[in-house]
Amino acid sequence: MKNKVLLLALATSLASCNKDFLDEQPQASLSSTDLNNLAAVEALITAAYAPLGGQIDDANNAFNSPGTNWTFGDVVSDDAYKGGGGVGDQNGMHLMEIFLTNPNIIDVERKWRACYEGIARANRAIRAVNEFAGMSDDLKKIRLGELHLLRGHYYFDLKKIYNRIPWVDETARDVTEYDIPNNLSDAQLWKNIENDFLLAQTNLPAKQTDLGRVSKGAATAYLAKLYAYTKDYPNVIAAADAVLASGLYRLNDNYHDNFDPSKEHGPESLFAIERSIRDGTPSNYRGSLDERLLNPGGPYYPVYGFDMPSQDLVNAFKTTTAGLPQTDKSDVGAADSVDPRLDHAVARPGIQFLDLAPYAATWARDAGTYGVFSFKKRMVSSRSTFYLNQFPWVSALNYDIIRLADVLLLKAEAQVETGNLEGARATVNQIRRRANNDKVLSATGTPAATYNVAEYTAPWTDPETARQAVRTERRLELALEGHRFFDLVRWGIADQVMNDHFNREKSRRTFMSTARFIKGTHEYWPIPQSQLNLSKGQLTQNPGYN
Amino acid sequence: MQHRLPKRSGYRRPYYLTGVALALSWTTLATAKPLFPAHAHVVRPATVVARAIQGQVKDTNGQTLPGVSISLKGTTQGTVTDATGAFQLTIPDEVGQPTLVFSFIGYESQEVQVGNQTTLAVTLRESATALEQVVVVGYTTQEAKDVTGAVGVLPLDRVRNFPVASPEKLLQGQVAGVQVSTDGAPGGNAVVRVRGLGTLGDSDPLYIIDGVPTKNGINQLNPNDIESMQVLKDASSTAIYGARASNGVVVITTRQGKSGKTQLSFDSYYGLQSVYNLPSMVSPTQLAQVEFDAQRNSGQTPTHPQYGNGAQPVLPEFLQRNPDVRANVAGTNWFKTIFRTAPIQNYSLGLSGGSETSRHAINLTYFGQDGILDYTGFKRVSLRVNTEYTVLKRLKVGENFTASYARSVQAGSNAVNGGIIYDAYRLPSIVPVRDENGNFAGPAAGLGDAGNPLRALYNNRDNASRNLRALGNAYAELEVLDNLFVRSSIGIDYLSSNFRGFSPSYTEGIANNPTSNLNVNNAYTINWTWTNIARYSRDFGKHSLAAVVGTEAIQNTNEGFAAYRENFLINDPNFRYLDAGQGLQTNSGTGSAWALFSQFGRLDYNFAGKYLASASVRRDGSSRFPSNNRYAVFPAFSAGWRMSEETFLKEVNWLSNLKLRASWGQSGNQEIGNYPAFDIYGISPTNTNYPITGSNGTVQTGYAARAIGNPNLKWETSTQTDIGLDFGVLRNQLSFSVDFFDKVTKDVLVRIPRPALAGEVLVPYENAGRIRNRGLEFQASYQSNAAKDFTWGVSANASVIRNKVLSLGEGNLSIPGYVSNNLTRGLSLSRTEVGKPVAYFYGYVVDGIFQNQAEVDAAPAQRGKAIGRWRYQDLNGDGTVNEQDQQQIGKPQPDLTYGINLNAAYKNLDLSLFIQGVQGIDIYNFSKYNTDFAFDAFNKNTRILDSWTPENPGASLPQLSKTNSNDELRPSTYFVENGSYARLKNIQLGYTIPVAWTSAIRASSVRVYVQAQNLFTITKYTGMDPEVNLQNYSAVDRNLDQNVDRGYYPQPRAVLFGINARF
Repeated sequence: MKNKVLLLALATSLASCNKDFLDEQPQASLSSTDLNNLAAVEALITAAYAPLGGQIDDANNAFNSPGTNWTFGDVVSDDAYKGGGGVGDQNGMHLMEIFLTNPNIIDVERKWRACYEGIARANRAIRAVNEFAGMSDDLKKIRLGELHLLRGHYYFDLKKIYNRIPWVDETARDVTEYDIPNNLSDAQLWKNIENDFLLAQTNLPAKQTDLGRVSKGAATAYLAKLYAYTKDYPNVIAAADAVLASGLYRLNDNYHDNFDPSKEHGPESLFAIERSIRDGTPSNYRGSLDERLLNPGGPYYPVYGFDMPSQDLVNAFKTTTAGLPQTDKSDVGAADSVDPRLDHAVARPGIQFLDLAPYAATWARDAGTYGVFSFKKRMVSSRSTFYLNQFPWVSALNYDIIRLADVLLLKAEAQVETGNLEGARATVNQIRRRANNDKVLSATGTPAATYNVAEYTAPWTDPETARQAVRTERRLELALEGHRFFDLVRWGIADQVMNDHFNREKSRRTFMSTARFIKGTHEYWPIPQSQLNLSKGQLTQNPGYN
Repeated sequence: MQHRLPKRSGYRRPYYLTGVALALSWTTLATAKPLFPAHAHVVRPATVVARAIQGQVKDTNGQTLPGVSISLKGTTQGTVTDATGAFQLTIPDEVGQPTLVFSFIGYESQEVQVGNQTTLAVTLRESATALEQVVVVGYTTQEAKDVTGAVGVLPLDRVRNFPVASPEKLLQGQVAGVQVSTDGAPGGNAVVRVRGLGTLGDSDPLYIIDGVPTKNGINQLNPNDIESMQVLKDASSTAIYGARASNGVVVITTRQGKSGKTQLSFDSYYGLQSVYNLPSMVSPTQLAQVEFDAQRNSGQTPTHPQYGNGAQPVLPEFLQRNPDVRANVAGTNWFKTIFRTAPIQNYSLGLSGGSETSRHAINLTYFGQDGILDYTGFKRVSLRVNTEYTVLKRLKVGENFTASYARSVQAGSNAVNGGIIYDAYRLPSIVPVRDENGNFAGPAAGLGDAGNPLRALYNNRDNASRNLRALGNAYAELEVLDNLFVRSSIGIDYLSSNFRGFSPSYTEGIANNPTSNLNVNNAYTINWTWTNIARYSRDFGKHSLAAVVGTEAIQNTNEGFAAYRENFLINDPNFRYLDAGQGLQTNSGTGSAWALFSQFGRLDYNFAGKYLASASVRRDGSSRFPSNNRYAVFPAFSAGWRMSEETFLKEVNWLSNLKLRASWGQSGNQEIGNYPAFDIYGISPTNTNYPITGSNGTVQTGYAARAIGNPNLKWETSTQTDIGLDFGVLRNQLSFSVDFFDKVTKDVLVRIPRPALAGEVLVPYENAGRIRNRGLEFQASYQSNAAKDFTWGVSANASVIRNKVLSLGEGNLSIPGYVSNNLTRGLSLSRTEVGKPVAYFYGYVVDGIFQNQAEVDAAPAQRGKAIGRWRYQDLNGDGTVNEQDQQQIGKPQPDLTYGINLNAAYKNLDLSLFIQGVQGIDIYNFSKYNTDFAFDAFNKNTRILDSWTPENPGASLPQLSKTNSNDELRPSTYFVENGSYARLKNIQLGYTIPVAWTSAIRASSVRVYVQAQNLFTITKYTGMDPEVNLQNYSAVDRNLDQNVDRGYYPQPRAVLFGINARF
């Protein structure tokens, strides 16, 4: 009997096996067929927002692809030095800073990848929304508006960093459809981005219930910015005015409210990267992970000390007795008056650092190389519940991709370029008026330094003077917010400003001794070598990087 | 003349043949008759007077046998036969019933009761020689002489006492064509490569333990339990394991009981391990001087938070900003601080025996290895129980089972961030180990941010992983008809693991962790294997036939769960549970499953023992492949010609074996993850969730595409041809074996990297690559005649393998190296390219240092070129040094791997030496990134003292500088070093205690030994240990990151004492 059972079992198993035995479905994840429900489609949309901060995988180096562009906007400009522990610490950033850039630098590669990941997620979500029947038309419209704005934003970052970029939209499905060239004209690329913003502007409501979602104001403001890049000045003014006319936005009363996590989603914020901590995410990677290296060191913070403000930036805040910018580029002395925005942006020795203590030169990590000034603007007090006082040392402070001051200053630029100098002066004065409201105080409650900032009272008559005043104002107001280098390039003065900067600074910052900005090349970063290699010859390297 | 009986202890048993190397099993030893049984010493009355015995010894063919040892049992007397096979011996009168023991190499020993005879005619039968050793060839066995494939047999007797945690380490240097590389971490696994690197993905071999396949690693298998270990190398041997076999198959059988007297065995060793070859780092004074010189060379006026602003650096009394921290002006040797002398020990107690109807073997072993890094260690208790019963005349049932529990505390090594050894390289020596209050000290301003490595080890001391593994099978085998056996076996491989990792709060110099946290991970994997086979063998005259057919069903499921909690009131180990935390808590979990169903068959035929042929086929169905490609068929054929059996060679007396083998076959690889055919959308909380509501403390779940499936995917196929020749002379005292193989893996699963436009998804696997491994393997051995007081032997093996990528898919010429911030500082160190070996080092060529402005001006355009800087070669001669001027600057696979074993014995003493090495291999020494340049504030190697100055024009390093304007950290020839080495892996001196002394404790044999490991190494490599291999992580593309030294856990030097006792 036993024999027969065994033989039977053997014969059965020899002949075949149950077909189901080899059908294993993915566990703990969804396959594409599972996406046909509202929650899943909404989750795809949420995921399209998620790379805004530059975090695209489980690694902890979003600082190589920061959503705030502290590297691509500030470190490589005249506003900041790389900082950190010597030039070999994040060597890629060092090479970028001295414009010895090569296409293998991790930052160059990762920023590209982060932006295209955002685009890929937006594209997949657009497709899912379009193909999903279970969503109301109204909701569909809003969600498509969000996704197009997100996609436009990621492309905008790519455009200003790499210039010549391949364009892919939601129609590409197969992996082979991603092998495309970067041969679209400048105008066509801007047009594509504009179309995304316009669609978003049309679709989006003035306000969203979820404060983290983009709304019409964000799309309109981004259009103002796009027109500034394409030098379409009347449209800059029109878009900026549309933002203002909505009645939903105004400048915060206090400058520092823009950098206070308890005052997020205020009237000045148009489009922000949302951050959150202690939210159940492993290692708190949804906090300000892309800026975790900016902690200044000292007794209250870990010693990373990156993105250190330059002497040149500090000097730019020096004011005349009239409270106007002192442009002689001489070092700020103890007796000099400064714009109060300086001490919100830059940690200077002796000046109170938030609610902690006066900042001291000893906090600086490598003063010999990078000087004693530390990044301060978006630092949250280590005593605050919005700050995570452990690895990865991040905060919940949002980063404003666009805030109203930015829009106003773009409008002022456009006013100058369209000949409305007095209009420009009025716009700039709005900004300066507000700047005077918010002084950094010492522990005893007195101003921590001699602050003097005033409005331009004399009429503006010379376009060049007006242009310089607007540009200076933009630098001061938006210092260390990731815009400076792109502005220099947009204005066509990057080579001149940077080479002047290197000549001036190399005596005290020796790592700059060989730095040189080559016009026609260094305005943009190279297409990552890995991407060139992968493109099967479709991508063309930017000029000067071959 | 009297001769002492030659020792036949298994530990020194000669190895006749390494071509099909001899696996002398423990059981052979265990069942060997005691040479001097205790009862033989019973003294009887002297009733018989002394008398002379004479005789002659012949073999079964009637040939006389010279040199046969003859001993009088129970005494030390004996003699040897002369040239005509004749002998004479006088038997003393006190021996009551004299028994003579005849022994001769290659022949079975024979005991002859002398009785009243005075003349003896003795015929010795040839013993089961190496040629008759049983070799496992996949679901069945063959005698070595009939094997037509390439099977490497681990000579276990040579390595039995090696102090390793994991049995695969025993293979290192012992089997040609098998490359093994290990690190020194306690209980660590080894990387095993059989005949090169045939794929970019998982290239570990398949392990079959008593018929149960596993890919879960075998470091929970106790080496003492192993009876035989064989490596199936060519396709005719592996094809029957189908879609999992193309990286080779390691077949392990565990010790079985034998009918007869119950044997008790005790094996133990205890030893001390220590580190050696520590790097030479600069003193605090030298580091300060380097810093000042670098600043000055960069045009700065030297200033430093610790060393002051003067013309010369001044070492501070206290590290700035922490008056409690007294500077260690003499310098802390961080390597001596974190390394220690650590014990390693093993105790193994075995019991085996059986009757006509049952057999059993039980083995209980404790293995403990403390790491040479402080506060690390591995402990394992394992119990092996094998039993078999003959229930009915034709039915056998049995089981083989091992249960083991291991506790392991590991330290992070070979990583740039968080690597303990890397931090020991980097933390300046002026930092003391502890401050004035006895707390751990740490980095201060201007001294970099490497943490105190001893603090990291100390805080990690209780962070143990605990693994429980149950592995085994139960089977029944029925002889249905004569010679027809059917067998059914259910195997299980269960692994459950638990890890609790606690990170206490601490303050250490300028580094601190204010919030304690706890990570708990639990996971299990269960793997079922149901195998059914039918086996038939029969001789028809000169024709001999054996066949096996079968089916196998395998199902694997795993699940993992992890939880995290913050803020623990106290750091005490007793409170390290989730409930004791007060802060944030999170959790996560995941799972997966796969299944395999297979049918297979094998047919062996031989004619008159001369002409051998065999064929096998396996059809595998895998859940990992889409339904349209679900089944794969893997055929193989082989043939052999035993020329020595031909009449024209049979007369050649000195020739004992000459066999030509050839084989062809295919096997597969399905290690591509579990669901490669599906598009996968998933949650990654770190990058898909987003606080869409604008909250600062909650996030909403996001789903993003994680992988794109390929619905047309198939398995990888290796096609391998093997030609081999085995050669033995003088009864195989001298033997030689050579194999040539050509193995081409096609349809290699490559995730052909796609432009980032596709997003950060895993792009689909495609069957796109082709990789060739071609090689030659040699094994040779000589063993002197055992019938002497002094015996010796030597055996050597070597293999030469050429690895070459033939294709990476249409239009795809190269894949960049593994880039990560944590492992490569964002650099791509290697490249995998058509026409080159996998993951060869790729970079610039350093061509000296610019000595003067004229040289600088004359050199090709290169940003940052200046006097005192490195000159990079303009390889393409276009006048500019850029991206295109990179080339192969090294390769991580050796040209040659080899092992040499020497053994010698004199009377009761035995000595063995084992040398192992590789040649033609390179290492990327990544520690130089921080220690050889003054760009950062970290500690420096003394190499930096040879930096360029006008007075030192022949320097190897460029001028000290704080400015890396010439990008000297880019991958270049400076970082790539020759990684060849020859190492005295093991030397062992043993002494077998005469039975006369041990009989009091009823021991049949007791051997004690002293052993040393890694006594010396010949290498040009400047790092701590040239035995660097894969980064120790499980990433699918880890093969793209080979032989990079980022503070590799070095192999300890160990001295051990041991005992092997049999009762």
